[in-house]
Amino acid sequence: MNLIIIPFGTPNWGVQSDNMKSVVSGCKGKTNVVYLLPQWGIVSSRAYHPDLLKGIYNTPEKKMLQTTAVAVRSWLHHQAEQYKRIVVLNYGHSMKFWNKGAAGTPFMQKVKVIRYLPRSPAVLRRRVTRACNE
Amino acid sequence: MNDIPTKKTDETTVVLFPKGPARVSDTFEIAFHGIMRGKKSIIGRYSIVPLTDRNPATFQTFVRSLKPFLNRNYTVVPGTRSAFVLPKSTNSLEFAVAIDYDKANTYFKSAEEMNIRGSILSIDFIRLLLKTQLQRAGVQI
Repeated sequence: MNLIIIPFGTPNWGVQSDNMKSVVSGCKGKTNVVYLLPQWGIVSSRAYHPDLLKGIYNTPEKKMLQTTAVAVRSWLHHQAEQYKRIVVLNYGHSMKFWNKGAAGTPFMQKVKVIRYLPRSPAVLRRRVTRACNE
Repeated sequence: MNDIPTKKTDETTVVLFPKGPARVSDTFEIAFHGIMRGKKSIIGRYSIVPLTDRNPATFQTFVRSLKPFLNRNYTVVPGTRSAFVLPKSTNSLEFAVAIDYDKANTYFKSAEEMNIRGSILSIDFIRLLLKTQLQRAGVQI
């Protein structure tokens, strides 16, 4: 099973987007898509709701970074074992949460980070699909 | 019941649930009440304390509007559930956060690896969880 992690706010890469549908259909086997949200860490697309993002901006950045990093790391220890390959889209400041949370975990050997390309969606789709199928 | 460390050990002890108190709105604040051990999960209980000197009527309206949503579990993160409860023992409104033991272990493991001291979950996280649950239920605060 594959996992694709989309940082919060990545343009044109929501679960229902054409990009994501194309990638998921191109990946071999089952592929789950999750969001990386500040404060919450990794949240499944089914549990995601815009209400989750209300009120997160009152938290000091340092505290938010720590809370999110712990949530990400805890999620990885709890859930990552079931995935063969984890693909992370590298977009914006959300990567701070990922880097602090995931660094040094044994699951990093399954992880492939793909840089977001705002002007080349076709290339990005191809790279994400290839990363899933490696 | 109360496993919160004393001041002396605050810097060296790691606990899962933050102590608070934390103000949630003009109507009420939350304060750590204690922990309970369930069969599958550890439950952190937070008392919902009205700021009575400000808006007593508003708090009563809030409690009334919350009644249909009592004991309903809400999950955002796998292994974590939260609910508003009204225990018979205290007969006062509480917010309960249940974390499965395996999930709690991963929190402690992560905290150890990241050298975190004090509480692993922040009070902001608990407050955000409470607010989100209220928003999803459509209850005004």
